[in-house]
Amino acid sequence: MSAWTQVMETLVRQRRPALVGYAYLLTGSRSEAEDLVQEAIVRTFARGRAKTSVREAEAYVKRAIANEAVNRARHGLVVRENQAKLAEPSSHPGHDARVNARADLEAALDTLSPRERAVTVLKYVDDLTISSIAAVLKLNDGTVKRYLANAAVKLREQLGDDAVNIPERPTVPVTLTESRI
Amino acid sequence: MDVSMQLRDLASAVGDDFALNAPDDASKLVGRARRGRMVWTTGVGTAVVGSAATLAFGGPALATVLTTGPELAPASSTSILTSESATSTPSEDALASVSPTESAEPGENHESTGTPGAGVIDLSGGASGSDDDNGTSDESGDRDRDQDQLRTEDRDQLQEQEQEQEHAQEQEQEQELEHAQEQEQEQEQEQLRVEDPELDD
Repeated sequence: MSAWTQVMETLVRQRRPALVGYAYLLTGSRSEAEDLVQEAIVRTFARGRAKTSVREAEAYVKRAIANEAVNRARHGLVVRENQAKLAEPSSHPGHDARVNARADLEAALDTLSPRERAVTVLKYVDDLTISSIAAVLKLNDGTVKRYLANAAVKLREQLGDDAVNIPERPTVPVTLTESRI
Repeated sequence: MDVSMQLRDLASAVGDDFALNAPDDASKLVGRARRGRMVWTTGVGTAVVGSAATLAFGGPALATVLTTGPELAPASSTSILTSESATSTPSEDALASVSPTESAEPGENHESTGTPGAGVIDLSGGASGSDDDNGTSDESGDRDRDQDQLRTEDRDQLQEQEQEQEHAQEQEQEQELEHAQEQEQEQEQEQLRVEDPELDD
């Protein structure tokens, strides 16, 4: 068995659930997330881009998932499941609160555009920098900042002001001079 | 709880839910990746080999055709192509240079096309002209002048040959006409003799 097949099998067996959860954040659809992960893994290893370690391969597959999710959503290929995100009755204390919070978060994510959603996930889940996000999604840094700001505003509207910490914009001192008019 | 923790909790919840019913199709996915890898490798390998072959074999031929093409195609040289000496055309040169044995080195390529004739001289001149980038400008200028002289001499020779051929054809036609007229005159005299036997007396 070659090295890349071992890495791929290990990735599929150990990290596939985490990748499906990651893809779910980007797509909002469970079936779409599973299909996306499967295609991303196969494509990554089929094109000779396989890495020697599982961690590198997972990072590469994550990038492929993010890009493919944006492309599919922008081209209207994602069919939303429109699941009724209703809270299920449970006897466990605190369960209702968690389910409600999860439903609110999914509803808030649904208000974002595909790129705003991808930028948000890459920023808050992967902890990538602005330049790294721009490199992954092939965007300019300024575009990434704009998407992040727009997404933060929408999320704050849905989840409250405490949910998203928007960094304050640096103030630039402006000196006014008298006009000659 | 901030959005970062909420997103991670959501992802882990979905992942855990998926893990409960995760299909054991790792070997199946590996098989798909292996097939795709073969197709991808074949496609990329073919493209790489094709482009390399184009650069290696098609490049000199293309350069030769491009450098010598305008000089072989003038309106006055149509008779050159129809003559026996002009057996080498740009397309033939391109085909010859595509063969791996002849075009492994540019020098061999130029020598392989070297049969005596006007077209061949033109082609070799254009090919060597493309190699002048490595030499000095004086040498390249001398080569160009020599090649121009050769080309003009070849053209003059061909024109002289054509004129000689035309002259010979005209002479043959005149001789045939004279011979035909003599035969007609003899036939007329014979007919007259048959009609008037007294003329023989």
